Amino acid sequence: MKSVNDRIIVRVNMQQKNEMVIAGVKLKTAMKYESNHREKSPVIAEVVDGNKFIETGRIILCHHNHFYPPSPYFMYDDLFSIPANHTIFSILNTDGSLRPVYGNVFADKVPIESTLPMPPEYRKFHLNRGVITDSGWTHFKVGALVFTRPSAPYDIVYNTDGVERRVTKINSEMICAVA
Amino acid sequence: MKATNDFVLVIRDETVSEKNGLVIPNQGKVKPHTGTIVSAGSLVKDGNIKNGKGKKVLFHQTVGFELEYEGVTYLVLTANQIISMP
Repeated sequence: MKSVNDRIIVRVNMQQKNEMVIAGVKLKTAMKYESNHREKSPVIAEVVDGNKFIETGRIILCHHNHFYPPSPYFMYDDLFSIPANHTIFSILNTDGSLRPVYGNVFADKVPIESTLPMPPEYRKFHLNRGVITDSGWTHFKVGALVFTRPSAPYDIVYNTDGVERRVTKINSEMICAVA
Repeated sequence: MKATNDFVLVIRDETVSEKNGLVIPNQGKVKPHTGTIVSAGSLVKDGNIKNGKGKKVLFHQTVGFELEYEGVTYLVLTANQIISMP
């Protein structure tokens, strides 16, 4: 199977986030609790046929909207032909770390300053800015404070080797200013 | 602050707080739709806007979004939201 029209073919385990382990017992998550798609929907995919930027066999992290059975990108079984654009967030390295691709960058959220010291769970963050931790293919410098369109920073959650990890992604087209 | 992509950073002009001797409260003020360019991104196509740092621009009342940094409120516009340069 060959990919055409600037697409790549990926294999996705549709059940990858439908299980959770509590006290050593593996449980199936009911579909009705899948309201937060970033948390629950599959985003990790294996590249079956790539392009010159994303090699065949790599594991990638991409937007969950591609992956549902009547999707226009659905081929058959667990194969999808997805466009090679900014909806592919990053390539997964063997150590579980990520490398952003296609104009995406990773950033740390910036906490809203408070006069009272707040515990971490009550700390609020700005919705329109971030400090770049990995600039990927873009020209932004690591450590730069960038401002985005409101709510452009996008939290993604993924599971590798049974470990749940989180990362905040910003599309570089949404960055409007650099401090 | 430095604008990126096709965004333009503008500082909106001050609102006149007094009219015919009456002081208008903040809520009743109509925000002016003129401002001064602070920075224009590298993907801005129009040369007048791109090299227009410090120049006045006119834009529609409701366009753009504001961001505040170090006590200064910037209005962020895309280049095509600027109507003219008076």
